[in-house]
Amino acid sequence: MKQRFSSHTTLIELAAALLCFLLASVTVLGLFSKAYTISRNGRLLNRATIFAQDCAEVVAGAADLEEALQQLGYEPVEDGVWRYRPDAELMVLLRLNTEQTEVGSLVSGKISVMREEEVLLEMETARYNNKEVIHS
Amino acid sequence: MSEKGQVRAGLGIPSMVLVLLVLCLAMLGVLSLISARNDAALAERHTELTCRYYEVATQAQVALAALDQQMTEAWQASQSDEMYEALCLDIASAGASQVEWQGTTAKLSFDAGFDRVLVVEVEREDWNHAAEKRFVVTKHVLEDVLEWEQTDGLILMGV
Repeated sequence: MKQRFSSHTTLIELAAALLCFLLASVTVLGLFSKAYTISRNGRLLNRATIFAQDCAEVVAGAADLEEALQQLGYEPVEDGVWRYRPDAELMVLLRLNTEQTEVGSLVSGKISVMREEEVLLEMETARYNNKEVIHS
Repeated sequence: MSEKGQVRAGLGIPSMVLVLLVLCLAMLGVLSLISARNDAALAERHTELTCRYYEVATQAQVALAALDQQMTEAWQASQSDEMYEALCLDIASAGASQVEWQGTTAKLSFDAGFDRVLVVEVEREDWNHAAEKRFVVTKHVLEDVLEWEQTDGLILMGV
């Protein structure tokens, strides 16, 4: 009996193969979609960290804090609160608090980087100013 | 149509190609997912390291404010440089940090996590100048506390 390899199949087998292909495609698309979401969140966190770090450095080191913040793009919202919107997605909020001591002042800031209502990260920063140093 | 009236389609080799294609795409998807997860973990670690650094930098500034206050009180209570020095040496802690004196230098250390320590050193001004300024910050450095150990595992040799 002569046996031959047949590359033909029935309609039922064709439908089954198409179904498997569709399921596999959905799985693959799901994998790519999840990878994209995770990657995007990671990039967003990196950007949030950079913005927060910039702000922390300004609070810790700028001679004229208000001017430096304005140059960076921050706008005053209320007393001691500054806001910066680098793009439509992220928003940086800086809450400043100044404590006067007998010999100097301690400026402390709390930085929050938010995406809509979600807080991505919070950072602290501070600078101690000796009165004599400020006035000199 | 076959001889027996069944509908047939030629699917042998195309099916195998399709299966291989799907497998390749699935493999690429898994690799992308692993890569994205690693990147996200790295981003989280970077954020954590940065936040921790600024947290201890804040603690350091609070400690400097406390130290300045204590040194001002010591200056106000003293009549000479020797007395002022003795009173300053009595200052053992400022804020959340222990103060270690080595002569006129005070060292403050803050644990920044991840085997790092923020070291702040200040140089004390003498009694005559303490009215204007009690100290000058001479060091503000993040140092590794983890020491390198020699291993026999990998030896890299120049070509």
